[in-house]
Amino acid sequence: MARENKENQRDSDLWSAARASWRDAGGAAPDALTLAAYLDGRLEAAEQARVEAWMAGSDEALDLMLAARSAASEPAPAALVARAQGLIGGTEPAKRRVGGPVARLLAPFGDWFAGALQPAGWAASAAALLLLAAGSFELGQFGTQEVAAMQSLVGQEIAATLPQTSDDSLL
Amino acid sequence: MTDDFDDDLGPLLSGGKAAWNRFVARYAPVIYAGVRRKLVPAGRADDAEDVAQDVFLRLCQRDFRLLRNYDSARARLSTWLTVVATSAAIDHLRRQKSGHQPLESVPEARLAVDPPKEPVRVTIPPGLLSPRQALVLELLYRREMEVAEAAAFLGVEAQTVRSMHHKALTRLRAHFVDQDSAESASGQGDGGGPGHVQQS
Repeated sequence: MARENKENQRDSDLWSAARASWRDAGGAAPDALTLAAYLDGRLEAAEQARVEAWMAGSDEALDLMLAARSAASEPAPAALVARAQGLIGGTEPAKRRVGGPVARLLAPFGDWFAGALQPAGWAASAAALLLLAAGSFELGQFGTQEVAAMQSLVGQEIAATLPQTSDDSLL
Repeated sequence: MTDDFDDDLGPLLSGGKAAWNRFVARYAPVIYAGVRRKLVPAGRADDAEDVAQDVFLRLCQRDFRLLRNYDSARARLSTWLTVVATSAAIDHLRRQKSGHQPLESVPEARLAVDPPKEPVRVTIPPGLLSPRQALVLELLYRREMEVAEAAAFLGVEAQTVRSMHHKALTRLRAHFVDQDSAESASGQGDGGGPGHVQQS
């Protein structure tokens, strides 16, 4: 038993000394798809040899492949799933295309318009637009009067600060 | 286990929310396991969720650029995602390692400097060992795996591993015996190299 252990240690030392050659010749890391293909046993002999040379020459490479080989699926926390699902937001692209030319025209202003202008929402949309138009009309009237008053006030203030000159001196 | 998305990533790559939700629900366990496989032994289990989230982010950002690299003709989606996740965990550990750590927070024992130890380094000619033979030696000696474990990793029979191990050692020994003989004949050898070990 002791003799066997000693021999084993000698062989181990021999490989430790020789593996420097592999470390030097390991080459660049293959891409993730090639590594996955290796683990699935789908590589041609030459590509398989390249991956094995890379693994034999790099501790980190072999770590990666051993970990990937032994990783078994395990339940993911619900919080992770919710966060990851939240990375993609919005409605389905197919739904965004529904709604005709008006909906497409309003699409840049948000999905609400596009959704509201789908056939089922025509009545509600028409009522909303009517209300919006009436409100704008009132606002426009009020706004016009307000703007005119403001312009008059500002004009008076500017005139008071200007030196008294004739129109010719400004030419 | 079948990979639901192997054959058709189309709805997912067109940005469909429902397809993405399904993809996340299906592969979160795969990605989470791949990440944890590296982080737990390194004592960084608490980082697993963040690293897994980062993998999902990398998969979907820039219009699913990473995910578009996947080719179902070459490997299973779950295997590819496991490699991507494990690789992300290794990157994370590397970044943590290279990050700043206040000197006063490092235990004294870890700051102790070992006396310089010159590793024995020999060169073997290209082709002396096949990549697989070298890998078998690496798995058995440096990773201290059992023959059965190495065989499982390589996807071969245990007897095949034994055979490759034997052939690899025979070649290495023969090479160093020849090298030592040549050095002795020319009066250059000191008899202390790896080949000397093999002659006893």
